[in-house]
Amino acid sequence: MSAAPGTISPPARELKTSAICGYLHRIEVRSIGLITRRRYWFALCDSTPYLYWYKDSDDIKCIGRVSLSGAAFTYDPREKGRFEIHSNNEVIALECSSDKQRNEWMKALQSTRKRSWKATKSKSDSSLDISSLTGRNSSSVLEECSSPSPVPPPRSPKPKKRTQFLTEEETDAETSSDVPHSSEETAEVVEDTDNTKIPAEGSATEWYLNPNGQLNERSLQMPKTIESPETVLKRLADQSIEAPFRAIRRNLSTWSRSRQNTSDEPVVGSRKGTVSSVDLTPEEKVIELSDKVSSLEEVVDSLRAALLLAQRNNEALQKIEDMGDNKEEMREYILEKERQVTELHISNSMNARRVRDLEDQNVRLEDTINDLQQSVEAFRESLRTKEELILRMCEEENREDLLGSISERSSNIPADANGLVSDVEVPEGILVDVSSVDCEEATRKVLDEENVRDIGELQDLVEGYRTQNQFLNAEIVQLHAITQSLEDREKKLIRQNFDLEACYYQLKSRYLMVLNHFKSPTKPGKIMEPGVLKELLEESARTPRESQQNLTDQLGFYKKDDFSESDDLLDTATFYMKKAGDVVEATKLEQSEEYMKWLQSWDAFLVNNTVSRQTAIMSSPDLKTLIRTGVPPAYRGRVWKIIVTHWVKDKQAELGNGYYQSMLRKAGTKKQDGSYDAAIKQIDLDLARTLPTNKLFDEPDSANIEKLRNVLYAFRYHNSHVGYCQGLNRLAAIALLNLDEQDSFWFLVACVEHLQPEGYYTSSLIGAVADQKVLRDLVAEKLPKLAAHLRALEVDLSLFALSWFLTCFVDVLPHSIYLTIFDAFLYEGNKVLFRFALALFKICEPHVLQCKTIGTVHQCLSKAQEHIIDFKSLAQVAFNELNPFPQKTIETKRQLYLTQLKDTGHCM
Amino acid sequence: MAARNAGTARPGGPNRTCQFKLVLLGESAVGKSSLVLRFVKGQFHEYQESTIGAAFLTQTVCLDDATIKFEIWDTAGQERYHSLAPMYYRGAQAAIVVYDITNQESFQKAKNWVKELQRQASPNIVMALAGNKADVANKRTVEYEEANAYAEDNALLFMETSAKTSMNVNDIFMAIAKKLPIGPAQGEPTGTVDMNQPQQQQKGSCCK
Repeated sequence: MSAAPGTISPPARELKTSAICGYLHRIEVRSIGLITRRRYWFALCDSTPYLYWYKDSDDIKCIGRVSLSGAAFTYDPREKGRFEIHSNNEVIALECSSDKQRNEWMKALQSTRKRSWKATKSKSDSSLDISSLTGRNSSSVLEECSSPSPVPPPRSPKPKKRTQFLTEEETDAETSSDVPHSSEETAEVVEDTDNTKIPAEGSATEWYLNPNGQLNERSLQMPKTIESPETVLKRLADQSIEAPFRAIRRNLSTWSRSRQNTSDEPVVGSRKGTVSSVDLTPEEKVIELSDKVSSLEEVVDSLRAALLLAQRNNEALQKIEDMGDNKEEMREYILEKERQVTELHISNSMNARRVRDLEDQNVRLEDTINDLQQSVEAFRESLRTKEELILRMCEEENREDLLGSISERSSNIPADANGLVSDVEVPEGILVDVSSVDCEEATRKVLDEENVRDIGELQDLVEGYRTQNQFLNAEIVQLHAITQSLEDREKKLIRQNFDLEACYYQLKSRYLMVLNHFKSPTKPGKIMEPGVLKELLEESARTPRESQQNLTDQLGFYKKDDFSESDDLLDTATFYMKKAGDVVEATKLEQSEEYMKWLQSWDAFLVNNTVSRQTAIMSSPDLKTLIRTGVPPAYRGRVWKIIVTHWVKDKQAELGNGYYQSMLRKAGTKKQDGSYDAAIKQIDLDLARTLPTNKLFDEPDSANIEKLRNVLYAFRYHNSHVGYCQGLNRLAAIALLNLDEQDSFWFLVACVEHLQPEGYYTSSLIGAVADQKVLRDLVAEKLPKLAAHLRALEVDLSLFALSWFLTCFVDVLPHSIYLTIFDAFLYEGNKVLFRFALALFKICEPHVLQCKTIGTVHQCLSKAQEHIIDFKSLAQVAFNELNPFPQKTIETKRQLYLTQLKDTGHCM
Repeated sequence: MAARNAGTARPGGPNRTCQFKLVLLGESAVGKSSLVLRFVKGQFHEYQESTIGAAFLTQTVCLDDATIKFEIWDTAGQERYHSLAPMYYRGAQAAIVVYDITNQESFQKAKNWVKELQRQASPNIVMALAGNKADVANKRTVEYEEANAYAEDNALLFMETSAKTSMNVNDIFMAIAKKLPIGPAQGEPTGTVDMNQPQQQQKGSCCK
């Protein structure tokens, strides 16, 4: 599913969405051969590579969906309006009312598929760059740790980043020998040959780890013996020469055996054997000899190959020997070799893949062949039955003819005998004849007519087939392109995967080196320069902080680095462990089925509800439930726009297009006049003081400051009753994180004029004050213990809660939570604020009840947010545990307090 | 309520802890929140987020014979939040009225706040006037003498402060602390090391 990361300014893209939707019939063949034809509402949208269908046009929840990213479309011109979508071994047959409509759908489907494919392509093009990680390879560390150590340089752990050292044995062998071609003959390896059977694929991850996921004990050990170059040379020589020799021996033995067989056979078999062996014809001899020759040739070939190999090995060893003194060169040479080996490995695995693919293909082809054979069989069967049928019919006809002639004859006989009878009978016989002739003629005529009609029909059909052919050709071209790009992408991913793996092993080896060092620091050969550890630490600290974009999240909020540099290694370790745990947890969550389902349901909603085609979203309990689970960050802009548009669409229609621009112009001319305006002045003062934790707002010349100014200026002239109230800057800034400038303006209009009750942001804030009194009542009702405690200590809740209501919790909660509260607030309005305020109090209740003085209660409530773990737990309280939560109560209380406040001249 | 809190003594301690409610008032963007942040956390942000409603913070200072815990209410400056101010200064034992020395208007507004407090707050409230942004004295529009004279007339503590350079920030809070009514002394005043330690820490963090 394309949970495209919400870029910082997504809304512009969404404007161009063109969608197609409508009722279609879905034709399904059930298992018993029953064909059902059901009418569903189908919707297709640019933003997602799925075709969704719903029970009805204004549904939120979908019935089903099909992925279009790898789908193929086809139709049969003989079936009107019908087409098929083939995707993931599934065929979905749909039918629309006309061919024209079908063409439209097909075109839309194709363009959607194309777009999704292009999107994935561009995404993969901009995929991560890991060169920075691999680029800084271990050489610097290596030099530091290897040069001062008394052991030979090849011992240093640098080559471990290569994936070819797959099995643990080889790791040992590798560290022990200078040669990358580790051999099975190494004494310690022989001890545990069982483990060498680890499949090559799996072993990549089992390098240092055993199947239980624990560190292999042996992986931490240093080699027991260090072989001298001579032994290595000798072993290599043995190895390289032995193999071809074995081949020769085998060849020879098989050959001689076959010879023996031919010669032994007669002895065992029959007495004539000796004769038969002698009796071999010259041809046979020739064959045998040529066999021999060819086998000898094979031997020669293998010998040549072995020789070549040996030569190469010799060269390599020579070189190693030559370089014996020069460790530097040797290392480089070994590195070079290793690189080659890695490449070979990569190409090998790629080849293996290809082979597997081909095998798969083969299997598939065999399947098709089987299918075809079966159908041929079936066809033959049907032919046979038809033939039988025809034969039978022929027989019957013959019989009838016979009967007929017999009866004729029999009738003729009496006709001869009896004229009367013949008078009656003969005409009848003639009649029969005539009628049959007539019939034939008639049928011929009919057939001719039918032919004429058929020709017309056939022409139509040919035309249909021609268009179908064109369509299918286009389809093939497109699918081919898609396949090609996907293949490219796959290759790229594989390469990336290898790089990453290499990187991973490289890192792992370094850390293992460190572990190794600490495990037995006294043994010789394990001394590590103190600088290495420091450098490793520095590097690990450097990686995440290097790139600028890592400093902020996707919305531009600076990431809080709550870790202050500490000299204590254990603290550092714990910190990073926690961080790693968090990352793993988050990744797991994102891959969980629940999360996927959640994204999918949002996708289904958005496909059927674009801004241009709004259904009755406001009265949908389904949508309410969905929104209460939060909007996925990537979809937030679109969902908000849909909801905001719902609230303000009447106003927008009334005020006309370009209203926002006219408000901006008004603000511009007023400013040029130089007329003083307290609201405008306050806006200017607040611009750089809005969301200072966000990169887009933190400086006077940050990216979104100008937009924020425009939105607030326009609103000031749009609603001069409210003008500007501190707090609106927060709302506008939050809107700008997800919407464009103009939509943010309407967002603000929706919040102030539709979602919040009247008088919330006006000059006396009377609405907000009244709501505080309502809140106090609700706390007394829902949280009586807390209310009593607060009353006893004379604590006023509104000291804290006022700003919660004015800014929808922007000031107290982290943005991941308040954005989700905004989702619900936009849909359900001000009541949600009461829900969440009460939920916050409820969660703090046990802590507050422990406080014995007004000061401690104040302190506790000012840190209320610290008790909130995540949105889910908060929402659980807000939407479930506090029920029932009738809107009417709030409304009545609000009116009561509003009149009270107005009467008393509004004083808290 | 106020009296009760002020008298709270830490049992068994060498000196007493007194809690006092302090409120900051003044026009928008004169630096109320910055003063508090400097005093409480030793931090300064050039673009301090504007305050909605009010913010609550605490800080403890040590005097010779008592530990004073300030419960600080940092209020919003915009005019329309003015009507909420009584909620915050109600029962406060101390108030700092802040103005911006580069903004004459904010000084006038400060005078209004002083008047309102004299009229409506607790009669014994300790009031201080802070002319903030003293680091940009070259843009000054409110003269020191003028403000000082006003403060003397109204029996206010007065200092020009700078949250940015931390000039006089701790001093003004200390001055208030010293003027606050601490109950009759119990036991011997303790050594100077104990008293001065937190203050030194603050200074250290401020001078960064």
